[in-house]
Amino acid sequence: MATAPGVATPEEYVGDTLAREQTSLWADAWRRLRRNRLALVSTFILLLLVVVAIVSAFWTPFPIWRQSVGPTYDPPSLHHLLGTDQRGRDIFSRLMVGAQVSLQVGVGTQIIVAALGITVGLLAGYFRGWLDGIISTIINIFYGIPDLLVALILVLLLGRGLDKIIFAIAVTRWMDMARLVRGQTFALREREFVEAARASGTRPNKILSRHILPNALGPIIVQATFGVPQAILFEAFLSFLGLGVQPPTPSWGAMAADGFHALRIAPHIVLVPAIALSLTLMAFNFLGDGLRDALDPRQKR
Amino acid sequence: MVKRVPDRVPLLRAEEVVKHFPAGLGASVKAVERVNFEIYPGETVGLVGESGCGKSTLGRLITQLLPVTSGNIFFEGVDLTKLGGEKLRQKRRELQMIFQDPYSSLNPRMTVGDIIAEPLENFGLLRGRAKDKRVQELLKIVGLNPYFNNRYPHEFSGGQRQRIGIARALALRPKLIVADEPISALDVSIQAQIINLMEDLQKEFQLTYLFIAHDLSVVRHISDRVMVMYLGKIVEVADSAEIYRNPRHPYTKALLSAIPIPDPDIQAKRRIVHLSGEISSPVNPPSGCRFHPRCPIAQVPTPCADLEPPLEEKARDHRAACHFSEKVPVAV
Amino acid sequence: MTAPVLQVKDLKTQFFTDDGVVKAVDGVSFDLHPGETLGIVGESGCGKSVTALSILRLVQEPGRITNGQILFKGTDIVTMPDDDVRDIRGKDIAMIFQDPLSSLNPVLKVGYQIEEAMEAHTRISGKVALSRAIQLLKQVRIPAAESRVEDYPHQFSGGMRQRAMIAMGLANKPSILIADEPTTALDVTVQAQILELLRDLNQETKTAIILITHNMGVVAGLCKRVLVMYAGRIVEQGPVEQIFHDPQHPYTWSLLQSIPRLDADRKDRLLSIEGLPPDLIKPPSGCRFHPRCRFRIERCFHDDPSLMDVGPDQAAACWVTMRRALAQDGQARA
Ligand SMILES: Nc1ncnc2c1ncn2[C@@H]1O[C@H](COP(=O)(O)OP(=O)(O)OP(=O)(O)O)[C@@H](O)[C@H]1O
Ligand SMILES: Nc1ncnc2c1ncn2[C@@H]1O[C@H](COP(=O)(O)OP(=O)(O)OP(=O)(O)O)[C@@H](O)[C@H]1O
Ligand code: SF4
Ligand code: SF4
Ligand SMILES: [Mg+2]
Ligand SMILES: [Mg+2]
Repeated sequence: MATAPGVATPEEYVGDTLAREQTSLWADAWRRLRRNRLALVSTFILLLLVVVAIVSAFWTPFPIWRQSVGPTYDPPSLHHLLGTDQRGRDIFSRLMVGAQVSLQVGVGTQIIVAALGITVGLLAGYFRGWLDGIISTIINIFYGIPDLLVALILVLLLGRGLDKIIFAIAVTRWMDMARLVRGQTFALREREFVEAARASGTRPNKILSRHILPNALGPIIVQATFGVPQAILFEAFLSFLGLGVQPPTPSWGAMAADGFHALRIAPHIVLVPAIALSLTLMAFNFLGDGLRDALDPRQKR
Repeated sequence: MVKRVPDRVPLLRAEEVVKHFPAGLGASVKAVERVNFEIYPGETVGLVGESGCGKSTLGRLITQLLPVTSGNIFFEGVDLTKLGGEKLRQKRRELQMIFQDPYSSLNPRMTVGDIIAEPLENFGLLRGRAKDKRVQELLKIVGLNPYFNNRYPHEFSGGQRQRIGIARALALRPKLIVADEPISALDVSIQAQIINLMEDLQKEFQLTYLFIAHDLSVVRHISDRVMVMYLGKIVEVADSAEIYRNPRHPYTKALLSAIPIPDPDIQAKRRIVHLSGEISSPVNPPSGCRFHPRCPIAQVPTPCADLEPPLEEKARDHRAACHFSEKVPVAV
Repeated sequence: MTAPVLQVKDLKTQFFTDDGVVKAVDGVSFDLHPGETLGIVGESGCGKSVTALSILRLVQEPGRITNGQILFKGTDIVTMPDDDVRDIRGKDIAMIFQDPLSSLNPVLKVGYQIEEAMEAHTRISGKVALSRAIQLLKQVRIPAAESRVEDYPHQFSGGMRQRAMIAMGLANKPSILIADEPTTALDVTVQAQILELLRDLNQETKTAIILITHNMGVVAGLCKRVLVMYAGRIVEQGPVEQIFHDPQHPYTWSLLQSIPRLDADRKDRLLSIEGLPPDLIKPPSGCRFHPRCRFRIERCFHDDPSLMDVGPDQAAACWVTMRRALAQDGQARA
């Protein structure tokens, strides 16, 4: 080999210099998310909501179950920050506990949805064939039945406990996640690193848990984030119909329903939970949008 | 068929291997059609042919990443196509693959150390510190800094990633490595690094390679023997010097004449062999010799369009599938 | 000698990214004469495509031409109003890209797309346009052009699509055709035919061609002059024979030594260029090739060489040059 005298030879390891130190995908996503104002404000609102929900478990300005802590239909005042309802209960206190209910419903359903949807989606997408055929058929059947009907039947059968409501909503909501994960798995299993894993004798369970799931996590998180407000809204709707969480546990939907008859004389009873609901839904949706933009590698310049 | 070297036992032997992919409406893509060949221990066999001729499919059949439609693949006398489940998984230790795309062949969510350790874990070979040591040793073998084992793939360049892929393939000390276009995606200045590395590793670990590429000059450099594939069939097999000096199939000849040589004087003098017509579809391959619609010396209809030429010995250790192989002009 | 049709002077194009400023093209100058075939070679990321895009002012955000002049027949494209640049694009300077499928519209007939390319710049009747489209397809050697003009892109093979792209490029008889890796996505047999076509067209139409590629063999077959780029700079330029037979820059030399050649005897080992292509955000000090150069001297670490004449019409940016490096090597051996 030709080497000029007195010249250092190139480095011993080619790998002594990395191509470029790049931030990891998560750090990169976080950086992009931070630049998204709406997503940041939304995160802040949601954090506030979580704090309120936690606090409400230990303390509320007034006990929520006791009626007539104040006069009925009282508009917001210094004493009752958001007024009182038709039974003279403090709306602010009930709103705080309602946040707890909404978050539990939203997050709870998404945990079930994720567990079910991911498992089913991974299996259908990876093994394909008859298993995929069966799973796809079931998914389509569930899409075919009106979700309200399914939820109503389940609530009537199981009762109106919070856990049962969560379960009932999850049953009507898992298909989107399953479909998404199935599609992701379909695409990922054709990638060469999955093939490489198979070639080196990796068992299917490890391929799914180590290779496919971690690479589908971004879209799953986005999907779950969008799923939370859907579930909250669905619960509110059920409650509004009088089929939600058992009273006196205050759900925002039930609170709005309670005030509906008095919309003219005390609009705040409806407005307050409705605004809280909208704000929460919006925050989750903006966060979802932000996460999607941040986690989508195609957005990378 | 004339025996090559009688006392040499092939490491791998493919017999009448066929792979058809369903293509809807009852049609099928005839990606690999009745292919026969053997690979001997310690040699490098090159596999060339144009895009879509079935090279990768054949590589994946050999490593059993795809099941054959019919035919047998014997590896050290054991028919891989008859193995399944755990028995096949155990065989994978001896048969590894290097992939074309250094970006998509490494899991972006795993560290380089985990990627290289995975094959070891799959067979419970090494644990704890012994495993870490082996991973670092493998990184060193492929010329990477052993302390980069906890970095992620995206921090490495294409060539470095390909080294990581090679380290993963070496982890199980395989006997045969199928390398599917391992340098096609790399920078020109990096390709030589990887070729040299693969050659060094072969000497050090007595590896046998099936080296797939579309670039005949690279294949000729690294291979002892070259197989030329056209539309799912192997049309010529010979020693790599011989195939260049004395191609016996018109397609090989056309391929050779088309490869650009980095020398303006030679390029100015060369004449390329024009292939008329378009690349035929593997769904509906032409009758007789599959190359006949494009072959400059075809005699249609008889024999080229109705008689399939067998892959037969035309000279010592030189097989070609052409009715008129003696008419193929010599030298480029 | 005739006046150049295109003069690029100290062109700098940079991308302002989150990670820093990517100096993709960093002071590139060259001339292109009428009817000339110029090759630009270099490995991935060295700035070949960005140079080409800059010539047509097609560099996308966050990229910007930050310095230099691009004189087309004497007028500067860099400072030209947008409308005038649009007029030049496709009419005076045409460009064809690597991937012929994604550059063609899948839902429009090939013939229609060629006609569109003509009508963007000249007013002609439909009949004339059609016959000209057929004539162009014939010119790029598409058999049965009269009927193929009615085909959609997916009915064409890869090589035919690239021919159709070339036909579109030639539709307005441009004085310059820029081909950015026109054969990289094609099989070698098809590549050879496309290159032959470009060579013939260059002779028939006297269109100057800038051919961008990473394949040294492709350049050797088609071009008269060559620019070798490394890390955003031209490191060597000259007539093709000299660049291939007597390269003076260590990068050019190493590149030629590192590729297996079909016509050479099988060697034991290829000469390899160690290390990695540099990061264009923080290019190395001194000579940009120094971390990978096997002939570097003390000076190379801190002193940046510019192009210096090393032979008739040949220039290299190197303090040592191969002539001296190899002579010293010979001495050291002796
Ligand atoms: N999973 C599959 N399903 C259906 N058809 C397939 C599949 N894999 C490959 N094919 C088809 O089989 C043929 C051979 O493909 P293969 O990938 O083996 O070609 P190749 O020689 O490796 O080409 P390249 O040089 O482009 O990599 C092609 O026509 C391809 O479209
Ligand atoms: N949109 C962009 N944003 C940031 N950097 C860019 C962008 N486009 C190109 N670059 C950078 O500019 C440099 C030159 O790119 P260019 O596309 O000209 O390379 P090239 O020589 O054409 O390589 P190839 O052979 O891969 O096409 C590269 O380092 C690239 O990373
Ligand atoms: S058999 Fe006929 S068609 Fe086939 S390669 Fe030989 S001459 Fe050509
Ligand atoms: S200037 Fe020095 S480092 Fe740069 S190419 Fe010449 S010898 Fe090598
Ligand atoms: Mg392939
Ligand atoms: Mg480019």
